[in-house]
Amino acid sequence: MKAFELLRPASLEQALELLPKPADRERVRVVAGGQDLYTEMKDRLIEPDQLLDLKRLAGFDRLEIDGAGNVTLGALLTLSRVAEHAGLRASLPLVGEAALSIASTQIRNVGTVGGNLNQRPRCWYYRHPGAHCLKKGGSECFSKEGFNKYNAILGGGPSYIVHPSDLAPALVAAGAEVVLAKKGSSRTLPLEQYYTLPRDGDPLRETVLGSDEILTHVRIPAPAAGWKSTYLKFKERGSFDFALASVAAGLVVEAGVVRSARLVLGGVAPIPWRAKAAEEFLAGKPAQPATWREAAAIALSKAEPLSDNEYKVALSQNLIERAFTRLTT
Amino acid sequence: MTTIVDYMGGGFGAKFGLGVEGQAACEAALELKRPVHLMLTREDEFLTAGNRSGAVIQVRAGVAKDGTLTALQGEIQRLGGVGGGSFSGFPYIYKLRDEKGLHSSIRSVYTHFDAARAMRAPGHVQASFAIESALDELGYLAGVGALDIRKQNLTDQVYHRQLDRAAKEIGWEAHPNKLAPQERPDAAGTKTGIGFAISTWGGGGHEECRVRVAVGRDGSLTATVGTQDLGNGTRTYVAAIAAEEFGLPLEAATARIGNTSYGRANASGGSTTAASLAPAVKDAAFNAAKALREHLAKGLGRGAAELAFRGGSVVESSGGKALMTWKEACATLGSAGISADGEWRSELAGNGVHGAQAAKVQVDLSTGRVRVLKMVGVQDCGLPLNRTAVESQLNGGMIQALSYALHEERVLETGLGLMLNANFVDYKIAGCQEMPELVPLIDEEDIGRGVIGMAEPAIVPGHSAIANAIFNACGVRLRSLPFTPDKVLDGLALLAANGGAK
Repeated sequence: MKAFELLRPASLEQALELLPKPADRERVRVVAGGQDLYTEMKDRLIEPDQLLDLKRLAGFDRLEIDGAGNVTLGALLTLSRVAEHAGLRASLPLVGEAALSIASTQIRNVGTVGGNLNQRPRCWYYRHPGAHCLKKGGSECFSKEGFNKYNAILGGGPSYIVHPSDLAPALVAAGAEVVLAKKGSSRTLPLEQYYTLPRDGDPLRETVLGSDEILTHVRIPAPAAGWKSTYLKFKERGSFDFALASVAAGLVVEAGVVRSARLVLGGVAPIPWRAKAAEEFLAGKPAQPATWREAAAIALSKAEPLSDNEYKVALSQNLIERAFTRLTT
Repeated sequence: MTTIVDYMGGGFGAKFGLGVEGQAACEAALELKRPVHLMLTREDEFLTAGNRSGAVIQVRAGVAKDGTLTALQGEIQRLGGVGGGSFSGFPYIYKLRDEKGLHSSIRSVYTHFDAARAMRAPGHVQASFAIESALDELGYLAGVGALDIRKQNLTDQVYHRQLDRAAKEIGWEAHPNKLAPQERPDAAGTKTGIGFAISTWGGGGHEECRVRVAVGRDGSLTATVGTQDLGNGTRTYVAAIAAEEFGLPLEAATARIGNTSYGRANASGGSTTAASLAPAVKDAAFNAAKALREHLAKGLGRGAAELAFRGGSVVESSGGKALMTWKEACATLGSAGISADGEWRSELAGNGVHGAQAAKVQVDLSTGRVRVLKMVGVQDCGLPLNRTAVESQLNGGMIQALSYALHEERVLETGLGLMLNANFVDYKIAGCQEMPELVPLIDEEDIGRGVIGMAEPAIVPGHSAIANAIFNACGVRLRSLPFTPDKVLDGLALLAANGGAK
């Protein structure tokens, strides 16, 4: 690992002052729990001169639920606290389930909400220091024609990474917003719009976060009456693994009929993949197995598997059926 | 040069010889005239410290209606990087009654990756997978089933006994789908299956170790030999054998090992350590006890044969009347104490073991996940020196086999010439969530033989048994390791396309 300077600002204002201009954004990196960032530094995928540590910032690790049921998650809140919070588990089970599915207890005790939402891809080629791929400024996404068992079946091209976050699909399904602060101002946008497809934005990045911005917290609106939700993650290895595919699902069912549905897939696309066509299909349909099966087929109808990942289509469909079945039985 | 290895966490292979990394450390130390600490990164471990040899094997076979093998052809390609690789023979263990029906060819395919090195049961793991998969498949085709096709082609009755025991412990008798995969899934969308496989190994000893056992005036008892403990309990049995000879508890004896200046010992490999070392320890302890008895007999005015060591005392060998305590006896020695050397005694060691294992798995048809529910290992090992250690070896073998059956794979990027997953995030190893119920069983009918090593056979059959259990569950025959969900789902999709899945 290259030597670096550790900056520990005492306030958000100080931190924002220290953020770099766009041209210098690789020189200064913001660190929260460091569970992903440090591994990138050890593998010399990134070699920042300065790390901007946010741990001293007051209130950055808060978890609040107001009287109306709106939730605020600070960027430095640990994944363990999200997973263990009884109030959150009661109102938004999918968020707690997603947090609990991440990595290991040790990593969840240190890893944070902000870090998880901003973690970098797990693609073998991206993580290998010897493969100068598109994601690292090279000219080619090696996974497209190479070893792509874990890569994208939806939204791929020119890069075929999948976004590795478990919290992201759950929070998108819950309709969460992120708050991004910069010097003198801040902006709020739906988490769904925080992530960008490689073909729509800079293929070196997965989000719209500016070099002069810090993600300060996440807001989740109070769920609608009767909203039930779940997060199903399928891992190749039960102990500590990333998702081969995951499903964040939410439903309001009245008198056996779906009133509204949310369906977001993880592990299958460069962004948390909102299956809007399936959501629209579900509204007004009877809450029964045939409906889930059809919704699952619609959600994956645009899938374009690569040479080694066709299995993800059936896997995702099966998980979608399983998630909706779990919510209605 | 002296090599010091006080403790090693676990030695499973990638050994023998210094390797380039060892040479570099030695040369640096000589040049600097200072100690050098060599520590490989995880990536270095994967790329330069040796791996298990791979193999690509094509099998054609035919059986008679009763499951008797009549024709068997194997084309084996060994993948050992820049080395030749390893393969332990074809067919593995099973025999054709008429050898005219057998043909095999073995060749090495060289690549630019690091040479394969000895890795727990080199060659056997690959050979097992080929024959056990082919035979299993034929067992279902011939309608004789997974257990009987094996017994039909094994003349050695020890395998029959061990397979029957494994079948009993895994619940084969009550298993509903013995002759074909489970027809309909359970309510949870899963299917359950059982599979079998067997192993063999030498594990015999040879003349290489020289052991000294010494009794001190202070009552100390020490066994000294320049071997090392790979993490498998060598230190314990060296002390235990010496202590037993003097009727003392284990904690009364000290094993001085882990230093080449302590006297010659065999290189720990091929599961030959126990069978080479234990007889020499026994011989040295026996000689030292004899010398001590002769010394004490003089002082007590009795014949040496009238004395014995029992329960921490010197006693009359007939009748067991206590004559003096161990401490009192040792206090009569001169300041140098008493010591004796020992060498290997062929009559105290055996050679050649079997082994049978069974696995029970549950396959999730929606996700392709294979969950191993239970594994049974039946193992002969001659005289077990330490039953807990033997059972641990069996458990460890089954766990390692499960891990490479379900997860482990070096992903070698042929286009770029890179190993893509040279770390422990992407090179996956089974964790606690993957662990099944493990039943390690010592074959009690074999303990009359001498000491035999059994570390390696324990790892040989597990993955084959798991593959066969997957087929027995859901009808998917997986022909390459590891058995990951993508392969199971692809297999299920193919079955469905052929109208075979329910």
